[in-house]
Amino acid sequence: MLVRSRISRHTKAEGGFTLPELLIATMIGLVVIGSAVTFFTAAIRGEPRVRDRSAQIQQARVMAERISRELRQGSNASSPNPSQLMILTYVPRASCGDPTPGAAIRCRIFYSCDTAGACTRTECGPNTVAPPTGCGTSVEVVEGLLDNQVFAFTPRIPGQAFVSVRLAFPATDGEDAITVEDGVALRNPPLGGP
Amino acid sequence: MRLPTPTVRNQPKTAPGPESGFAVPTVLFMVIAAFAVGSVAVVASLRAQEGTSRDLHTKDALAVAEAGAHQALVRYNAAGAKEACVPPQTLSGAWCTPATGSLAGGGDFAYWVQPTAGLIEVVSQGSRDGVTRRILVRAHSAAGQQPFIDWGVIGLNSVRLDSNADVTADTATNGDINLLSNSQLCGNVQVGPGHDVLPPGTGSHSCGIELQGTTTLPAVNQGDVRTNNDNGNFFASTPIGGQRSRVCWNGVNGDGQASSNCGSRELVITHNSDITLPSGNYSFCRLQLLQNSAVYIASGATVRIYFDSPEACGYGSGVKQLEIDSNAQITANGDSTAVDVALLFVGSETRSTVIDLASNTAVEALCDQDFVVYAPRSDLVLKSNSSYCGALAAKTVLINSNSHITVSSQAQAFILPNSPPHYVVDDFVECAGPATSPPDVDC
Repeated sequence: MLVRSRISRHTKAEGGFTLPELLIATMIGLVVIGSAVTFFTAAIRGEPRVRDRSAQIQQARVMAERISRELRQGSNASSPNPSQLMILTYVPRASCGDPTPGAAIRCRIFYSCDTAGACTRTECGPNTVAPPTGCGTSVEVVEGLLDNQVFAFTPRIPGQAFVSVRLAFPATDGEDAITVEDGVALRNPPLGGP
Repeated sequence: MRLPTPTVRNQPKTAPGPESGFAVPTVLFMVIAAFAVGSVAVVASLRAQEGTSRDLHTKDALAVAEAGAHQALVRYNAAGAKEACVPPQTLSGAWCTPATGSLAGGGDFAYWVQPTAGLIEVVSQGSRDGVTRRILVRAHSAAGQQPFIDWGVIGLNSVRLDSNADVTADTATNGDINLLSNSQLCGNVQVGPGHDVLPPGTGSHSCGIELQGTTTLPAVNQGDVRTNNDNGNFFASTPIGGQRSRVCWNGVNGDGQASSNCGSRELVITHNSDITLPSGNYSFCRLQLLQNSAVYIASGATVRIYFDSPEACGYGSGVKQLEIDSNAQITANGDSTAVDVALLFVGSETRSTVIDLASNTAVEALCDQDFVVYAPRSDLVLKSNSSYCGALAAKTVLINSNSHITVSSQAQAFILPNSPPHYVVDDFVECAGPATSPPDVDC
């Protein structure tokens, strides 16, 4: 009997919460849940921005890699200003401007960047010196750049230039500014013409 | 029977009940939330890291592949570009068996070579840190070098234009290009790194672009011309015009009499006299044309005149190995298909030698006649209304007093004689995927 009464007293003493306990627990719970919700909301809100940023950087990487490859295989390159680049180079295409893959052939590639920070790539026949005649469709290869000052030539013998490519993205919404930069020396000797 | 008295140790079975409310789920929830947020950052960071690593490895693999291709070209050049596999590689089908190698800094390469008549193809595959890249290099066999292919006027140390001098040519130097006193230069120019076209505003660089770079000129290799040459043509096969006594070669004048006007391997012509040279390789110590004299090149002839070193000729420093003055001239035969006359100066590192063209002299007739002056260790001076058509290279170039230079395309194609056979790269192509058979598939 003594045992049962003791157990009963214990159970009653620990079996519920007092009002202050409940209030404090509720407050703590609200704070905790509020923090978590804030965290999540920020993450969810930021995710598209992060995704876009990653996509931009990836796009810039792909463009820089592509231009580097085209410059490496290039024989002639020129740039009237830092927003434009013309390369006579090898492209794995059935014909210049045609997306169908094929053995490497020489084509002339034009890159042009506008003041809005977007760059296009136009693939033309090797004898074309100004698009669009004899060229395929212009394709936008990168956007959202800080400016159009992308291409720079280090002086070398004409046609054997070292070309650097600089893709700068502005700081936005608390994100740091990002610059993807690469440079390539042309491996092929210059051919006659531009 | 007495039941055991419950103690505190026996009570926990009842305690968890009221403590198992929302605390555990909340903590779990928070942990998961923190983990998720952290994971996003980690994944983004890892992706960026992977991209950077991949780019670096790609560049490394390409560099390794290029190292393999360079090694192949070096080996085949060292073997004399003989259009055959270099041992220990042997021909297997159309390609030589592969050679392999590795770089001290890491990376392995393998290359395959296909040597054919006048052409070599090298496929090189480089691997570094699990990334593989493959390239194809095509090169043609070159028996000689073309020093004027990019630049028509070359002054290794300096180029200086003064007093209304006029140059229409792509011009290069490792130093500065000085444009003084109304001089004009039209054409692309290349100065040495850190150098410039100077001074601005005095002369003018009227057309073309300005670059910086390094200019090199191979030395003249005269081979055995000093002893095995066509000097024996004097005077039996070299018609003389004007006064024969005014033409002096090797201490003897045109009349066959000993003369102090010229020494060993020296040709001196004066007083309206001239001589006509047939084709051949000549070895001179000095050529002096004065007072309306001339050297004519026979019709259809190709003449190469090697000017020996001052040491071999017994000259001190500062000797004029070529002097054309007072309306004298060298006149080619009008055959515009190739360089008619090449004046090649061996020069010296320790004794200066000078080429002096002055006073209405002309090394031209029509500008499609092609002359080459190649003197990488001599100083060249054009002055007093002298004119020149062709291409020229010297240690220093001074163009002065109304002199003018134009460059012809034939002179640009001039091949320096006696340079060793070697391969010159024509094409560099990146290939898709690793090598299969044959190795140049997808290149």
